Amino acid sequence: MEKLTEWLSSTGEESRKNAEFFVRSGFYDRFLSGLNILDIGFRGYFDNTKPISPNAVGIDLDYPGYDGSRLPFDDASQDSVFSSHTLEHIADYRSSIKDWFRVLKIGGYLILAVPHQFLYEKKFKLPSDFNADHKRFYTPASLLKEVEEALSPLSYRVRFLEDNDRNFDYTIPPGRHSEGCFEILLVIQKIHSPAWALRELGCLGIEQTEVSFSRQVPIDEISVGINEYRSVVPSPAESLFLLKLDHRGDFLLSLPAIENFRRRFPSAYITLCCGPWNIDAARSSGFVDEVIALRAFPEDPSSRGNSTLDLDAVKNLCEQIHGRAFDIAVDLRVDDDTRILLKYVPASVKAGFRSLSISDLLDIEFPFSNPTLLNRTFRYLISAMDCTTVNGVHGGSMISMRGGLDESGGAGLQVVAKRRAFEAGRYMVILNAEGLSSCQSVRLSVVSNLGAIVKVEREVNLDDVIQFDFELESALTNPTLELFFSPRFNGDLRFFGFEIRKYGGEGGLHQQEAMFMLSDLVYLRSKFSLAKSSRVA
Amino acid sequence: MTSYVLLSPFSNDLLRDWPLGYYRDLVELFLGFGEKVCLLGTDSQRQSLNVVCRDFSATDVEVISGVSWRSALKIISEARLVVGNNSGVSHFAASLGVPTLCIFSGTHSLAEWSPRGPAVSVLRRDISCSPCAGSGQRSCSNGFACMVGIPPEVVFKSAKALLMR
Repeated sequence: MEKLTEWLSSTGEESRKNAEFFVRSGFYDRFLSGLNILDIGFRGYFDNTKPISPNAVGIDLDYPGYDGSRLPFDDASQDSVFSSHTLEHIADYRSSIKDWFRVLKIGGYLILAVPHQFLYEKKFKLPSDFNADHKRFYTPASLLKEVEEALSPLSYRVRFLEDNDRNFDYTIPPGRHSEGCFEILLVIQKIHSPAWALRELGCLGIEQTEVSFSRQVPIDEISVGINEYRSVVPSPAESLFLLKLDHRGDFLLSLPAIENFRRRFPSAYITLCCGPWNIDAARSSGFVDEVIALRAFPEDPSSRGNSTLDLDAVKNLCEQIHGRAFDIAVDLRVDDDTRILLKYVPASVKAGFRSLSISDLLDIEFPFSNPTLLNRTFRYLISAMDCTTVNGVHGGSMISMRGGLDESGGAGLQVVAKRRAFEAGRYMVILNAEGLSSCQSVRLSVVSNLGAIVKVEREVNLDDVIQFDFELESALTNPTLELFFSPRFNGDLRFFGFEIRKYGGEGGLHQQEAMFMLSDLVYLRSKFSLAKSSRVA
Repeated sequence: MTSYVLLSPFSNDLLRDWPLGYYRDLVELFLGFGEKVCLLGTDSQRQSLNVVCRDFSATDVEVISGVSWRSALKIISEARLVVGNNSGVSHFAASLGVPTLCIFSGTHSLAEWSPRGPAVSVLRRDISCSPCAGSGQRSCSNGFACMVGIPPEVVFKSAKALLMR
């Protein structure tokens, strides 16, 4: 032991300070007693320095076959690799740690000692006051961070980590070289990586699972391609053509949108085409540079009983804008009957609310759902012929169950109807039946493939019109309606069908808001768009 | 690093992430092309970043994690090119005018979520099971085909085109 301590006392400048500790604590026995040991950068700044153990091979840049990056030793050939106060001099710490680790046998140790940022450097930022070649400052965390970067987390275990401040003199302030030990000591051991290590590292992305969920759609492998979409930045719009041919009230509501076009395109020349009755309002708004009158509807449609587009408007428009071209043309009417006029306006980009009847016309389409249409009421009529029954008698236009047949209070009458879809909303169901008083109660269930969504039951009173209300929070596809008449059986029950009424809804965008949003949509799209440029694979 | 390509291989959703192993291969392609690479993520993404950087020299591939958002923006804005998923980093890079290559998963609509900016390329495998987001699924029953089917070489080719645009 004495002999070993003596050997250690002539090793590297920092290691020799640890001679006694290494020997007495068992550190040496545990980590440095193997036969094959490399001491990286063992010499330091002094000649006649011995490597860390009598068995160790001292490696420096002059070692035969060593270029400073790859050790001239086989993989898994060493019991320990010792590197004291070298890592902080190496720019590519990642490759060095990996290479030192490479030559370790399974079970072998990599022992790293580096100067501690707050024991040696005693400052926050590079450069080092004491060694201009220090590339990085270390704390235990930053040293481990480098190890974690370099090595697979399932290839090693940390066996020893400490701030080594043995005999450190805490009275010496920053700016003066420290005395005593001022290093971090880290030992990691190479282990067998488990078989699951690669998968665990998640290199292939999320794992395929056997979970099947309702949205699964098979892939059409033939048509699948990788496409590249590239940003297209249009040149700034210099001329805008706005179409707002509606009546006075509608025009009034469009003014915030027209004002927004002015604000969004401050230097563009804006032409507004409106009904002759709105010319003055358009000019006095001050938002546009030019106003063109076009009579597309009668000014007072109430006298004509209709408000359809005047076909002469197309010819009239073409004559008025003859020889001109615009960067952007926008139809601000919500109804799509004037959209056809945009077809005749020479413009690079055409925008408007989505038309239900004309396609391939608009470059910028606002998919606005008119609240009136969105919330409209409607009726489904379901006759006995649309229904099936298990325990009733189906007579085509009528399903019946005779009274007194089931005194025990058995099956009752069940009627089932299928629908293709229900929108979300509030519904009313009205039964069309005779002899309902033969029942105690009627139960309605709306069933989707996820089970019963709605279940409502009504007691039957004499001469009652049976009516149910139910509400669907989201739309349903292929729902089944089940009616169950629980029996009292004091008379015949005849079922002819039922009616489902959807209540009208409320809410949605005001036209004024919708037009304003359209104006901003045109503005945003004028700044950026994405074009499918090519199929790349 | 003075000149670098920035890779940000994350998003807020595993289903939007191009596989880490592919990012690793992409790093190798960039290095072969003479580019330096910087990897950006949060502290919690550090171990994943380590998987991507592990095979490369610390002087060629720098890993930055856990910096403030302000610092992240500076790193993004100074990149020669940013490659990312459908993620915040891609959106910011695009809007800052940095050439941005977005590898866009099939989960979401491109019309709704593409990064917007003057120098954006989006790579996407147009696939019949897309879009699928919104039903709360955390897995893919088609083997993540929209992302696994975009090989690193294809991404690299688009990246080169963007760098030289």
